[in-house]
Amino acid sequence: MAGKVGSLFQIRQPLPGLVGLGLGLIFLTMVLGAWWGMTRGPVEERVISSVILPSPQEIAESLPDLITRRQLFENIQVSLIRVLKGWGMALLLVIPLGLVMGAFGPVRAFFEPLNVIAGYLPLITIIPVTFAWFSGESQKLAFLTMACFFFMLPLVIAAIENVEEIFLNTAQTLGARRHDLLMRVLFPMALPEIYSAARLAFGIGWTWIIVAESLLADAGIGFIFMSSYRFEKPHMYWTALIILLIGFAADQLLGWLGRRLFPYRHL
Amino acid sequence: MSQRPHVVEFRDVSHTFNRGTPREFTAIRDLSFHIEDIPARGEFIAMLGPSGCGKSTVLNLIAGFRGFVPPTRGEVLVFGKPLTGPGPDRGMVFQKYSSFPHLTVLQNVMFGLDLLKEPARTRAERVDLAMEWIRKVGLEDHALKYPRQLSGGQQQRVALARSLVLHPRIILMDEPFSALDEPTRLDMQRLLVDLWHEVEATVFLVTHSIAEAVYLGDRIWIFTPAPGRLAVQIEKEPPRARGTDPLEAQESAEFKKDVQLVAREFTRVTT
Repeated sequence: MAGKVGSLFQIRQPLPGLVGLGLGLIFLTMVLGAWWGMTRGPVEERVISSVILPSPQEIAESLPDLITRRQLFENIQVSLIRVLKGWGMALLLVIPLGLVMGAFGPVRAFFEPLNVIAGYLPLITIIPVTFAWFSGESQKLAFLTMACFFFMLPLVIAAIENVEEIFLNTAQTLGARRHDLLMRVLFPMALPEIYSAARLAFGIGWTWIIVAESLLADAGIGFIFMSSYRFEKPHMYWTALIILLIGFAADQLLGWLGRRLFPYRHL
Repeated sequence: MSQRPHVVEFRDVSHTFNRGTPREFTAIRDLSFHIEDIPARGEFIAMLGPSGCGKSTVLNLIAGFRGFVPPTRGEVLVFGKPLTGPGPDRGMVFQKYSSFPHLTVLQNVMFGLDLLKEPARTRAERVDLAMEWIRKVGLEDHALKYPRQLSGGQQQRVALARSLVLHPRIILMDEPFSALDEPTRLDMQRLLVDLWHEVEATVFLVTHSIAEAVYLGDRIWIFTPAPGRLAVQIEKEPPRARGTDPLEAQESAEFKKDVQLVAREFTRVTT
């Protein structure tokens, strides 16, 4: 047994799937157990005051109120639609632009300032800028579009540039012209990497909508999250968990879809 | 003297990379040759030389890839015309596997057919033609697989079929079999000879294998170390032309003598 456990600690030793899952569950159980232990009993006898950290039971009991009075699902929908719109808009802009920037030197040079912004401007600085330029719903859309756009631009350009010269040369000996090289070689060959960038961008968008809604909004899951901070702490924990789960589920879904869209990458 | 333009003609061609930088490197210097166009019969030119002697540069110049048009000095003519860029009249098979990873074998072989304007073919005709060549290279059971699912030898078969289906007049091969194990390599030589009879193109083959050069080449060219010059040309009827199998050919005394002769010349030129 000891030898078996020891062998699992060989460097880069792959783990059997169930062992991996089990270890993660043990960690979670320990954290939940510690939480339960420190918040159990009558309020005045607890190790940690319920003002600081409510007990698991108190949090569980706050769910119906969160769903009905505070309209959890409607607010999730508001946030998801904001992200989908901003992310979709960014994809429509960044994929064609990245393609021509990766392929043509003059286009790349002309738009290079955008790439510098993408590389060095912290996304959070875009928030007040979009507050100044837009208001209400269009501010959210503009911010998310810009966040996803600037995140993806360098990745899309790199995906195009990473297509090896040998494929362009081969295509030309088979009669490909410039347009064919763009649409039949560069774009389809870079597409799996562009897709991976889009998948990451969705996660980025989901993270930043929470930030944007926390700062200024009257709806959305980020708004519920921040407005629960003072008087409805249990709701704050719920929304944090829900934000996490939605981000995780969306990423898994996009990963699953990617394996079906690009089967040749996973043979 | 025939009036037909030469298949390929080099006139005092030199090619230098990274000119004016510390990494300046002259790959070939003052190279001149021409290959005559003999109707219905292509020639097989096997090119030997030490690494970095510019053999691949000769192929890339004929292919007309980016960075090779025009040459630093001199002129490269293909069928009497200066080159402007790559085209489907010059097929190429690289050492590195170059099948498009996102396309199946069938789609890879159809890549060039789909781009052809003349002759106008329906999609069904293109599929039939591609399948015919996939059968010729022995991959009929793998037509719907992706390149990742194929072995190295199978990938080079895809590259051959994809190029030959377009009936190029010139076939450029840059160490196409050097990543393959010996039995596979001999298989590919047999296949290449078989298919070559159908297209009768002029083949330029860069190889590190003297045996391969002796077996396949109507002419064997030996290049000097960089900057590469064409030092020796050996013209001999290769065993391939008599229909001898490569494995059988290697056993004959004559073949061994020829390999020794070429090896001696190679050593003389490169040291």
